Amino acid sequence: MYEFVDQIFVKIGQGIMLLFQGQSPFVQAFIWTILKILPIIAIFPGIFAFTTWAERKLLGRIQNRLGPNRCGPVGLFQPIADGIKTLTKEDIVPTTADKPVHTLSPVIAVVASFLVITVLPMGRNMTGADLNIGVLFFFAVGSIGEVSIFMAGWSSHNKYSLLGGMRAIAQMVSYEIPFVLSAITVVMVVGSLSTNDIVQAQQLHHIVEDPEGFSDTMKRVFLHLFNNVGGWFVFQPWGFFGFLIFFISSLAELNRAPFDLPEAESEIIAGHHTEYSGFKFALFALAEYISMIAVCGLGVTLFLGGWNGPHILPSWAWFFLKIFTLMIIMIWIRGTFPRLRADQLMGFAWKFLLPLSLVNILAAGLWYHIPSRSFGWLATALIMATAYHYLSKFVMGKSLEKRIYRFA
Amino acid sequence: MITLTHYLVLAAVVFSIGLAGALTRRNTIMVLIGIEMMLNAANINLVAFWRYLGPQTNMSGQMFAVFSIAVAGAEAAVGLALLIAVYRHFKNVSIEEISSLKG
Amino acid sequence: MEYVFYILAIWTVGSGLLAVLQRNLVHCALALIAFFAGIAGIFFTLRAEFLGAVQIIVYVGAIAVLILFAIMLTRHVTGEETISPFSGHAIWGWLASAGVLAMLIYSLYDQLFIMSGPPSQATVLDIGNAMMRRYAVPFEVISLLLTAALVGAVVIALEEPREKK
Repeated sequence: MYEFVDQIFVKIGQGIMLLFQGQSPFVQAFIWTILKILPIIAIFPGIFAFTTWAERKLLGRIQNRLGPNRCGPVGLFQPIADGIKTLTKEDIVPTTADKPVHTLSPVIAVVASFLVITVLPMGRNMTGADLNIGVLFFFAVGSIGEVSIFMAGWSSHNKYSLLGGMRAIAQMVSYEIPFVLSAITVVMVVGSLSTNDIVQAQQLHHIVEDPEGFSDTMKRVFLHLFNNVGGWFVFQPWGFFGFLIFFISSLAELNRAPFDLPEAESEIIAGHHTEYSGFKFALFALAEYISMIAVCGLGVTLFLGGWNGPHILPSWAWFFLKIFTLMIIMIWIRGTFPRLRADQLMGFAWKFLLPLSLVNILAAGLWYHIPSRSFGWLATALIMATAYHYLSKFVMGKSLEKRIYRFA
Repeated sequence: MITLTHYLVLAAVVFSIGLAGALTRRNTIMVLIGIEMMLNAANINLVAFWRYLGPQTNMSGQMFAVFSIAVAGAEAAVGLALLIAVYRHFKNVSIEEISSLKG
Repeated sequence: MEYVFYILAIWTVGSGLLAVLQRNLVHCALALIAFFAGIAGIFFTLRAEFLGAVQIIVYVGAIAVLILFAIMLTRHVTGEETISPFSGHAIWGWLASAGVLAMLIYSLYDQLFIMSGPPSQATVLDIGNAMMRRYAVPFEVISLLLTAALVGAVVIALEEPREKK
């Protein structure tokens, strides 16, 4: 029964393929590809619409106000109203702008965002394309998004756009290094770049083959209870710090608060998408939110166990549940922290996150080779905590001392 | 059938386009772009030979290409840094204007 | 499946031609990005997937961005489009590259490359093994080279503090 619900989409796909059984292999491959792509194109913009609503409501509640509540119950039709508004707005292109580049840059941003979703494993046997270089493909196509930001900033022929675009690219290139390095620890431990392999390796029976000090039945009970939850890499010290580095770098990669200096309204009007209106602006927003979902998806795959979870829910439900949790945390962070200045941003990436991710790789390598898992956990926890402590002292300097408030 | 010759011809065409770009353009950055194109043509050659002619266990072609990409990156970085320093001095990046050895 | 190679080849050569023929320098750089993506596609048809992904990460994500930044930093504000982008003696450059192309095609003409076995295949595991075993010394040397390039580029492009006279 659980197997049936878990694999229901795979079975539907195979059922549809039975209709085309007599055709040539080319037609069959074509139909199979369409069957894998159509759900992605159908579902993820729906999640995007839901995310815009959730963001505005949650930010409103954090800021002690209601958020949109007029369109539909609790404001649920607000994304539809937003969609109609952006589609019917006039498309203004500045006369001195570079028209082909101006039109092409939101297209490239959207294409890059959607292309990376194909390597995310959304359930057991439910990856769009199980490449054997899945993680590397994600980073490669993700770095095409930076080019689109530059194109947007330059083609608008506007000082603010250009400045915002350059700042955005400098920030994205700086944070790409801790982003990739923190993913490399996971790839190193698993031994494969394929996202499906990484998710399969996060089951406890791969990590703890022989829990010491337990009797045989207790071992079986322990493994049976915690097989789907205990193996997540976030519960190992290197995985925990790796996840933190990954999450913070992904916030900076997406130009989201508190790293949204390039596109903050009070700073630079709207940064690289100042001169965009109507549908192209909607495409930029679509690209940003879909990238957010995709990067959360990668974080879930690498660190939070992918589609693993207790067999209460099917695997694809666990995947999307974890993505939603991460997205809500991102929205929460947006509403809570103040914006970082440009030099604080760069200093944080180069002086703190980069050395910490290098020590993380070292710690993960040590963990991999230490035969006793509990000693390995303690040793790596100690190494990471020491590195974190001394690096933060180095970066923050004096401001880590105790603050003295004086109420005059 | 795509044979090795197809890839070699493609690499030759790309190399000559890059060479033309490096030799004919006035701007120093265009020279660098031409050089990058030539390096990419060489990489195509290396990987095509690895694919079609090497014995099964020899990784030399791909390794050479990986190191070539790394060296190209290093050279682009240093070249563009030099360009910026030259621009700061001559206020110009046209190769016909940067012709005096003085200063 | 041959049409994949032909499409990618036309894309690559076309964007390469655009990259060297355009007047506007930023358009040249953007055509160069399309060229790099085409080359990555060629690597994928050659079953060198790791190399194709590395090509996109390094060339498109880093080198092309570097070139775009350099274009931004060395732009002339006025008089950009009036003079021809080609130097005075450009015709000799075209002739030279045409000569090189002719020589290369002639050397490939009628050559019969005989495959000694099935085409090589490699996974990332093979590349990692090669990198860490047989090619460990070049790997370390490359890391030294990249460090030197990093430090050197920063030092060269650093603005010298002006001394007050």
